[in-house]
Amino acid sequence: MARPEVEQAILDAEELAAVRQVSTWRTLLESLLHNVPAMLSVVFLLILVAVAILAPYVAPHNPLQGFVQGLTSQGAPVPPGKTFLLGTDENGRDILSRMIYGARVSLTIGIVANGIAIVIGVMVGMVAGYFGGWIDTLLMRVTDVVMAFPILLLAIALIAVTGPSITNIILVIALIYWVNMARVVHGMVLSLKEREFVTATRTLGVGPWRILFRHILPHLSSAIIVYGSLGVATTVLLEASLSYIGIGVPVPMPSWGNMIAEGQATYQVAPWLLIYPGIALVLTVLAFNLIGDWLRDALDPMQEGK
Amino acid sequence: MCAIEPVLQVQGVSIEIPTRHGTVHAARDVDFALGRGERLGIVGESGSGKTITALGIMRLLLPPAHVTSGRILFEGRDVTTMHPKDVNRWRGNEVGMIFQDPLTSLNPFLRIGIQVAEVLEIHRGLSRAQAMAEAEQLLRRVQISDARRRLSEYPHQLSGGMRQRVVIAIAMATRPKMIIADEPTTALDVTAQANVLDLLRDLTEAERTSVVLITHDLSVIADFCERVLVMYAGRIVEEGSVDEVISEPRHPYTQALLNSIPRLQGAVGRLPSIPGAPPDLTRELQGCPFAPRCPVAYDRCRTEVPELLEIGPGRRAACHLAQPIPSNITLEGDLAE
Repeated sequence: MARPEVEQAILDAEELAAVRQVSTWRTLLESLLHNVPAMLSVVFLLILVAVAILAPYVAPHNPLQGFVQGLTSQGAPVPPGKTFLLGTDENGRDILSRMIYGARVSLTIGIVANGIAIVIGVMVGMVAGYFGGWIDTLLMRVTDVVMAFPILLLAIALIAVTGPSITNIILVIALIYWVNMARVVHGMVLSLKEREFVTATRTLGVGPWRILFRHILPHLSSAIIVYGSLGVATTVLLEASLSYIGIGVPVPMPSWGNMIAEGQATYQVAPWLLIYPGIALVLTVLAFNLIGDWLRDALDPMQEGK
Repeated sequence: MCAIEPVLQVQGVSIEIPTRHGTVHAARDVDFALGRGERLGIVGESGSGKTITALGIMRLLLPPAHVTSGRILFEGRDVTTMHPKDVNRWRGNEVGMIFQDPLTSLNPFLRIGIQVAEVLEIHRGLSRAQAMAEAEQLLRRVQISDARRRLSEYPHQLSGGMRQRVVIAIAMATRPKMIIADEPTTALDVTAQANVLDLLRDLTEAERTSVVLITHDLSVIADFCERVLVMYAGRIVEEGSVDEVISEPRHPYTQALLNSIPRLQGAVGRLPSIPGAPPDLTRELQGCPFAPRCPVAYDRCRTEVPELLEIGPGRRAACHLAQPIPSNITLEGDLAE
């Protein structure tokens, strides 16, 4: 079918493409080496993800088991020490192990919920922005309505109806956070569709869906990556907030949010219950934000050559 | 009036854009035909309606702009009432369009090869590999050196002239019957301009492709086209063969345009320009829209809109003075003040 020189041309093209791919990754990596906070964040998150995945192997104790030696003779939590590195809670459970398992829950919810939110938001934003007319009006008014709700109240209401479970929390968070992505994408598509290359593509008889996914979507990629990484931070926080007020991850399953909530009662005598999960939460959110900032700068073509 | 076998017939097309400040009459009663293999130029200043007419023909008007009347027949089929699916089949397959700035009309995020191959994939149903191979051939045809390597490059890695040749390759990929080129050389330097025009002429001549070339530059038209339409304020004001229109313009606006072309010989001085500004397109026409700027306008011009009338074989003009040649009036002296 295809002649040998044709095949050669394709091979050459692919080879060149591969080289180019490597070079974009290399420039991204180089900019990371010059950005110490972002680099530390990446390292921190890689470790965190590894720990979360390997939780059964790295956790020193069973996170759900109350240990007899985990309570003092008066029945109070044990402070950080040799057996329990970060101390125990009022049920004699190991804080470190619970934090490690909590990382699993928090990260899963943060990443999955945010992923769903991105997919919904990008679809809604692209369709509304590109097709315009009543589709645009309808979709963007729905977006406005969702945006107008106080986030926490809306989440509480939705979970009150559906009942607290990890799946429900993920869905609720996704249903709240897609609006931000939709707004950003909508605005970008509005200006992109006026660009001449889109008109030029239309003159070639390319259909609207193909234009959206093949010609416009690549232009949105850097915005999606940046807002996506910033969004993880927000979703992790929202999960913690929901768990903190007791409608998030159901106990006894540990999440950073419900650990902080439980530690609150005894923080004057046993502050470690609250401090360590708090630090984990702050560092994770900070890391995602720093990575988001770095990606925004690194992927901005205007910054090239600086 | 036109060649025996018209590819495109534009019949009394008007385009309006409703805005908050009134309705803009972007094109009024535009009427012309394009023969097979013919190269037609449309010339006029910014806002004269030449680009919007082209977009209207291609069904590319973005709302609120719309065609309010008239028919656009492509080989007898009315484009204005075509089903959107058929429009997409028609575009790219039977007609192509080339835009002013090749840097903005190519997608900066996609490799050249993918952009050339896409048309072939959609309209000829080729596989990616076949389309890529054909894309390479197409790039060779538009004289792009090292075509195989260019396939995997991005638009910003090519020179301006090369990019415009890529755009031509894409437009010609499916051997369309008609190409509309909207200021194809404006963004290029003079050398690249000549190259691109030569290439476009060679390719379209070989395929008997009709071309509509839109420009504000009469010298480009003189170089490339056989017939020319002069547009002013959304109307065609003069039509004729390029030679006749240039040697013997019958509308004062054409005359004024010709005077504002810089010349190599003769006295060096301030380049004559046309005094005044184009009219407000939201108003209804009271008389000839060019009358306020016209050096030979008289009473009738301000009250009666001159119709576009045949004044000779294949020649039309919309001027009250065009019927009997106003030989006693010299326009140059008045305009070149």
